[in-house]
Amino acid sequence: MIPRPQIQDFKIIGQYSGRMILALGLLMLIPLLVAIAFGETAAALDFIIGAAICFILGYLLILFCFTRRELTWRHGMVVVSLSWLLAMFLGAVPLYLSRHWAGFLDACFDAMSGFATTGLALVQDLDHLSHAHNMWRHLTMYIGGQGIMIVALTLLVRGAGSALPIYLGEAREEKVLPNVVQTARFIWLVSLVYLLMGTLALAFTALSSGMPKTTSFLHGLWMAMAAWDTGGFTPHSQSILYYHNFTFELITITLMLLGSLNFSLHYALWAGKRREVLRNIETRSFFVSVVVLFTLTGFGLAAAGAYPGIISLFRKGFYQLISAHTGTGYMTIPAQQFAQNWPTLSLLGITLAMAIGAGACSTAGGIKILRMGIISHALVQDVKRTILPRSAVVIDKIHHIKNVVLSEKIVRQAALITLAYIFLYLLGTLVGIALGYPLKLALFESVSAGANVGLSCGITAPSMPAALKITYIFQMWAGRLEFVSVFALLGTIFALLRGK
Amino acid sequence: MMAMQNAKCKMQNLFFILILLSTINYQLSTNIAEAATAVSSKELLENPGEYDGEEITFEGEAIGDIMVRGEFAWVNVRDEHGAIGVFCPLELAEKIGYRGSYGFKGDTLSVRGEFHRACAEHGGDSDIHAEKILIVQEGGERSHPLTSGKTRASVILPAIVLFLAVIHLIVRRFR
Repeated sequence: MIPRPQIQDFKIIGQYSGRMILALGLLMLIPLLVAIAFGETAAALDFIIGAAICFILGYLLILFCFTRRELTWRHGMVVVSLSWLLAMFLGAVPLYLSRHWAGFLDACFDAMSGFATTGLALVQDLDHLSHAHNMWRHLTMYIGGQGIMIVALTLLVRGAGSALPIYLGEAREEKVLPNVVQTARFIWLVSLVYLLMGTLALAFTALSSGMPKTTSFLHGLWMAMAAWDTGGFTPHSQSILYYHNFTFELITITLMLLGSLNFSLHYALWAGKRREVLRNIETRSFFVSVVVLFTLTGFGLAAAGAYPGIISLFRKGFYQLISAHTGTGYMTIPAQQFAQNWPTLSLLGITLAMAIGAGACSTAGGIKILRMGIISHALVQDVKRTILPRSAVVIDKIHHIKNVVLSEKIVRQAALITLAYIFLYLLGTLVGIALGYPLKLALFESVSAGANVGLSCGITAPSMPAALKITYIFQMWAGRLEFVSVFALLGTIFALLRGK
Repeated sequence: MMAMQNAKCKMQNLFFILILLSTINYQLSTNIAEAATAVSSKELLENPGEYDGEEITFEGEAIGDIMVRGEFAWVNVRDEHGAIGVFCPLELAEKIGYRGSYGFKGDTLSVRGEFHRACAEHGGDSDIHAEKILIVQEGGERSHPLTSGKTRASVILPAIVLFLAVIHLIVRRFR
């Protein structure tokens, strides 16, 4: 029998959600300052209203949901999934007020896409959007990449005890350091260092290609935010194609790869353990996957004669593949080209790369390369067991920071989450097909949403049906949180309705 | 003699007017022809094979910054469906006065040049190598009028926040 949630349970959830909302309101002051600095008065009002709504709701929740009870695992999971939905609604307010989105649903879509570091966008006339709104779009990616609740934990929550369920609820399976708060701080340190380096590199490149100083800095900052957090938003509608710059492509590839690495691996590298990169199951599996999938993609493109010469084929094919595999979604081709010029084999390569994703405990989405590595190892061992004599003892080990013996529990967990992702991808595909889109395009866009990638073959547009927008929002939310906290929220709603 | 000179002069004037008229007519007909064959970005990007390597005319607003590449430059031009990169000599790009951004509506350009589905010179980009750029309509400043509802809300809501913040501080002290 499922116990029905009590008033105290709601108070705990309300208290922590209120703190998250206050943190969101504080973060809206950054684009407000940008609007003031650039004299964008109308945009400034959008953020005054947005931040004020956050503060009002946050204070009301904190005042009316006061409790001294500690957060339990169940509460933590519900807080996380609920907070992400609240962040979507509240983060959409300043976007909607700018009138660059056709309706509130479209603004919610882009807010969730930002927080979940997806990069699919329904914004209209992006090329005339204010600096303040662009700052907010990219900031949502930076906040979401680290984890909305990680940000709130760093800003407004005391004590590591309450932090652990929240940390794990945001799809962070591994603690880099023994203490969750220390881990959160390390994640921030790494993110800020790479943000600084990325901003400088991209801003200098933009400046040297003739862009003005201020624009170069802002573009450098925004692109570094979205590349490191494997997000994919850009300040112009042509994505990376806007810059017509090979150096820009190289820097963003580097940032995307860095952002897709497991934070535990970052820590090992910072601690001077460079050999870990060569030994780690994630980096090895990622390398194999990139080689195999690029062969698939490149062969398809070459056979179809999609690009003139090997250099442009490599430049376009490899960039799109890395963008897909790291879950970023930056594009150096127009969206229509996927549907019109890319053969099915190449689309399959990109779709598989998106579905697999990159490092666990990174800013990337998708099934994650660690789970694929675990399942592949388990499969090979099972084959070995059938070939070897019954008396033979097969011990399967993987190396991920340390040597780990693969137990059935680890394999089952990896398989279950993989299965859940496959169902999530199928859900969006089926809705897409039901709404009249061709199978390969519906699958491509659904995987892109569910794995939080952001590559588009042209389906994502303000004119797409509302049912598909809602489906993609759900996919982005569930995919980013890796299901557990979403199931906890659904379970709590069920318990509220049917529990005793 | 005088009458003959007058008649000759009139003939010269008539001849000059005829040449002028035919030049204007040619110019107008060329522009009309160019305007008539203007292709949209939707058409170009959805049927790139059809226009690959062809001389086309593309009309749209100049957006963002001009990116200089030696004696050439990149200008991004956008119509209602999407944007395409235009590669042109720097002197053509320098004629563009306004480029679209939050504060400005960019000049509307008519770009005549060769379309490439996947340009071998530029790493496989879909682009137009422009020979001629005409400013069809000059851009200008964009206004962002403040609505009374937004202005009122941005005064009332912060006042409520202030009130709740004070209440929160008081309640915290008593708890």
